[in-house]
Amino acid sequence: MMAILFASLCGSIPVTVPPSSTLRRRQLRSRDVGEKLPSVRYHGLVGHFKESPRSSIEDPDEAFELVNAACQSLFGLGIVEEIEEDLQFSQSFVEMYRQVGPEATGVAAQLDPIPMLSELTEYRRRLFNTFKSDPQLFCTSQGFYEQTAPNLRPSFIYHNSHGIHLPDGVSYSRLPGQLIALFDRRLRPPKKSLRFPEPISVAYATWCPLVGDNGSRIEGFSTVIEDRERGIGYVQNNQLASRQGVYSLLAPLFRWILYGNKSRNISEAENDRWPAALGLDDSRFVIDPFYEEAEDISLPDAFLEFFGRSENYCDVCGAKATATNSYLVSARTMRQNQAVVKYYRARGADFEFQLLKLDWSDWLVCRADMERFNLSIPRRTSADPISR
Amino acid sequence: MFRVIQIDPETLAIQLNAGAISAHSRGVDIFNFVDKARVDGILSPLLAANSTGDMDLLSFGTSYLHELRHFADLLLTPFGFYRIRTAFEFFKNLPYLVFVSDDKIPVPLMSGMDPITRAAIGLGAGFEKSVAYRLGSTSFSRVRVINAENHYDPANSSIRYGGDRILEALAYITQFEFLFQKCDTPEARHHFSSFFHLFEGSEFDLAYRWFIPDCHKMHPVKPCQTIRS
Repeated sequence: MMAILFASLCGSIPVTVPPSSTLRRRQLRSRDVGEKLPSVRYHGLVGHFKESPRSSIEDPDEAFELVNAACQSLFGLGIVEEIEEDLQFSQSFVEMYRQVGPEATGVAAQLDPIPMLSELTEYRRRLFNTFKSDPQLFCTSQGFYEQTAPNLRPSFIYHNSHGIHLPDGVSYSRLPGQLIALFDRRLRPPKKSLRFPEPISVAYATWCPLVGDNGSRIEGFSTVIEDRERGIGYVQNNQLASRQGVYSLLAPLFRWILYGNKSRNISEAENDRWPAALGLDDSRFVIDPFYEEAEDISLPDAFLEFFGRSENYCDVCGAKATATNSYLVSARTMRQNQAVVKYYRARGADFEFQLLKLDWSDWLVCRADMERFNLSIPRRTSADPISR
Repeated sequence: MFRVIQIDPETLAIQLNAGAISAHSRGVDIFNFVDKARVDGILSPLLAANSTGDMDLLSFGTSYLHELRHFADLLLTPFGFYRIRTAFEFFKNLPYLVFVSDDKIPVPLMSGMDPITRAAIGLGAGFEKSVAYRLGSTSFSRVRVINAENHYDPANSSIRYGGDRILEALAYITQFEFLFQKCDTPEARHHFSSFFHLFEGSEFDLAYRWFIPDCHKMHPVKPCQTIRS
């Protein structure tokens, strides 16, 4: 089954509109490889094997060969050839964009995603060579967890939705390299604030780059320049600056522009105040009201299970909150609720600032407070048994 | 939706809910686990957690393994890399849209593609000549493929097992088979009960192991070993 699932993802997907650049339109070979989408390939392969059912195959090499032969017969190309063709296409894609302009440096390097894409394409080629030498390293679990996974080194982004006050810093990692602020905001507390007398700088996400992660061989990235005026820091290394720009600016902005506030990520803070963070006029962004609000309310099971607790405390009233009488509500969902805003305004400027501006973490809310704020209560079905 | 660890399919960065981990009684150990996995690779800290029966670290570590499977599949396979390429094409053009042009930018961009919605949110007729419109047209021709792939039709409850579900199935199998092959103890079966439970069409089953009925049809004589409870 693993070979079938993997092979289903291996169809090169047709490009129906040529890639475009706003600088100038370029020609790139347009491919039409027919219906090679994962769903089509999956149903094609499963249908093929359902026609002649047989007992499960113990030998993974035999299983891979059977699936590969089925791919050749159904889709015209074997798995290796299909990835190879896609690799070549991706390489010409990178080359096309590399020619668009000279490689940027300094702050501008953060706005150039091509060094990072080029790095990923090279890393991909190395993974492909491993796959070609032994497909079982990807098509069996054991091959994957024993030999492939231990060699993978993705980048990590540490999100702390509560907000970490700078410049105290954080110590999530003890590894060399540096935690570099990705989403940081300078917040202005209310004038009457007793707890926050001065404007504060807050980091919601940091990234710890390591030498060699993502397959790069870059050394000497230790010089980090923090440019607090711009609200972002940048790395004096074009490759890492490209990554930092993608993580902190281009990818979150891509999600926001494509999906509005309905885009869900591990931290909601990244969607907040984009025009201001970029120094742009708010009025340039015309927000469709349907995508401005995002209701995200769920059962608390995963939250309680992670902490290994059967009960916790309601973030509003402090009452005991259990799997059966409480719900997990996103920070944006709370902030967009006028009853919640009114409630915290009445409790004082510091409460309002702390809970509705500074802290973007999820809320655990008891049923009584859900009803008080008229928040919709998700139903527990038989498919959602109460947590173990 | 509460998440502790999650891959970003557009950048391949692994995102950690550091705030929640910090609040966990084993938070320091979990952060140390991440460090060890980044230096030595995932297998050795996972096996160490298993050998001491540390369910907190095993739970976090196998979730990390799940995300690593996504990382490899997104990077290597044409469907996965299509998602990355699509995003980077947008990233490359984004600075021109935001910093160079003066165009109005609808959020989401899709709302500017449809003339009725466009009028409703107050974008003028000239929008079709803008950079935002051109970029939106290209992006939506790309994203449409991903969305159509993962379309769910509530009218007839039909689920197309598209790219994203297949990615989840591969990550589930890897995570489950590590548990089954390396950590098959009564305590692990209790702690990871959703993984070891018989298939019954629950939300968990439909999200991660929806392929099991197909598996039975292809191998009717001897069911897959991986689904024995």
